[in-house]
Amino acid sequence: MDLLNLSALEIHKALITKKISAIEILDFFLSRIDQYDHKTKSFLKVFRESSREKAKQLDQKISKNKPLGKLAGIPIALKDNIHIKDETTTCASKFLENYIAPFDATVTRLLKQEDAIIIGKTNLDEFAMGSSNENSAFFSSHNPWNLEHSTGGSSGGSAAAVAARLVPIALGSDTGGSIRQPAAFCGLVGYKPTYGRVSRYGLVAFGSSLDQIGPLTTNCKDSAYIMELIGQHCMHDATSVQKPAEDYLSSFSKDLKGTKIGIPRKFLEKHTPKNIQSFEENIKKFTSLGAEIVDVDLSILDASIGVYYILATAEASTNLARFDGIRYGTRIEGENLLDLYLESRKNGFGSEVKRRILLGTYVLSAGYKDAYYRKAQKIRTLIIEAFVKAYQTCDAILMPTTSESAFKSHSIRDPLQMYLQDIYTIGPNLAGLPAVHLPTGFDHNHLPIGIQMIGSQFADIKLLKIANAFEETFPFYENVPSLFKGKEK
Amino acid sequence: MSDITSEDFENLELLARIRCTENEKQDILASLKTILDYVEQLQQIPTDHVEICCHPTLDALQEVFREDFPEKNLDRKTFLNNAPDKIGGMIRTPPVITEEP
Repeated sequence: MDLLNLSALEIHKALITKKISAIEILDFFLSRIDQYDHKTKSFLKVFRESSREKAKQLDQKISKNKPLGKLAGIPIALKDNIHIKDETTTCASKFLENYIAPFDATVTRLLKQEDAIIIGKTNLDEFAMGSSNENSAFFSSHNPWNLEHSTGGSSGGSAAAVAARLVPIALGSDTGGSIRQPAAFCGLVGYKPTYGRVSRYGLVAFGSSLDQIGPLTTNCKDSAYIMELIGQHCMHDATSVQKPAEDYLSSFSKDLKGTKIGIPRKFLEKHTPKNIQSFEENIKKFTSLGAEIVDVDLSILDASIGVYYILATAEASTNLARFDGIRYGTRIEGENLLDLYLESRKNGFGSEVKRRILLGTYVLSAGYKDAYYRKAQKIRTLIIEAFVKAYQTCDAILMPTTSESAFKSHSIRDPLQMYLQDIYTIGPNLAGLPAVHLPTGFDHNHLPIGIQMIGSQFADIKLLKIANAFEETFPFYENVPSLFKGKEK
Repeated sequence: MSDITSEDFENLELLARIRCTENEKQDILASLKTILDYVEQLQQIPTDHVEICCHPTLDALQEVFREDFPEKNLDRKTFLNNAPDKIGGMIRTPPVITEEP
């Protein structure tokens, strides 16, 4: 059985129809990790023993015809800012190098409930702060399509692992684009749900009004399948909306006739992506599929980077205040309590994390809070209103995810230049909207390129339905990076 | 150009309870100035009668409070598992109160 080219759903179906065993599936992916992960460096930890144990239990269940969970047999990797009870959650930080999670995140519990095999924890930019995976305290991950290029970030490890087919599904988190941008760089479907659709309980918080957990997969149906299971209310997360789990797949169809796709022309004139030609070709494809193209005004998104880097850093400065070396984390003793805080945080945090905490502290400090933080909060309202108005005339908005394909690793040194990478992805986080990256082809360097679709609040099903219909025009998932096509040894 | 000075930066470090290394200080201060200059453009956007937003899907939330009853939560042993320094079921820290009353 050619597991390399099967989707997660197809792997699950092969298991429940007894065409393959859980241990065979798991051993396939563990072998691939052993053989290839030294190239991508996507994993921080691999759970060889516990996942084999789980696979054996599943095979025993199957042999006794016991009921199986909806994710039975599917190996899944989690970004290492999501808790698994009794395993380390490092957030790719020296501060939490030895921190053991005392509880399962809600998404972890839901995956376990459905018999998923959680195969490992993936690399990220430290505390999810970054767009390159170069800010991990441990090591950088490498793009499977060209190892000299960035995976993107901050869910770069998750993206690299799925793109290299080391695992069929990984979860990431997205605060300003951290699922969608690495999906763009690595040629994957990367889905950020509506804010509040997926529980944040057990996700180490970066920007609490912006963070969402979501899937990285090779195709839309796998993302939708995961959303059916993790997209539900959680009593431990007060920002989790009181909606039950929903059925995504049964409403999928290939028909896009009458679907209205909004293009923010004025915004794109000012922020023209380098791969504009590919973007225009994709608009034509939508038209050929029967969709109607309308113009929408999102020029307020000019302000989105400024707003984001005030609000997200302000929230981060509060969220990361808990890392003080007292109750957990790497403590460096000092002459007194203040010294302990200063030295522990000096030692534990990398430069990018420090930069963002300091910026966030500044914009919240007395004398500056109104000018920066409150101002940004008001412009956030304007951004939300602009999207609401746009959705009066369209079903989904089409935008680039990134200006161009994956940049060469360590080629962007200036922090502001790195922040400007997020110009297309930040709007949906600020407005709480669902957004998905869909890979649509390659550039002249054979690096993946694609598009971003953005839906209105809680229109997650509609958005994935549109993305799935469009995916049929170019099934990118049929492409495996050439370095990773080999047979397992 | 943002007027954040080295002294401002040291105050900021104290507020944030973060000490930067010598190598980091210049780099982070310079980048803070650049970023703050960049966000100045937000002042051009009129927001006189605009409400602030702190939660993008607030309208979708219904009652978020539950009944106030005690529940079994994290046990002491598990809680202390990650403590860097502990003694007798408690976390040990440097003195919090250091002056005579």
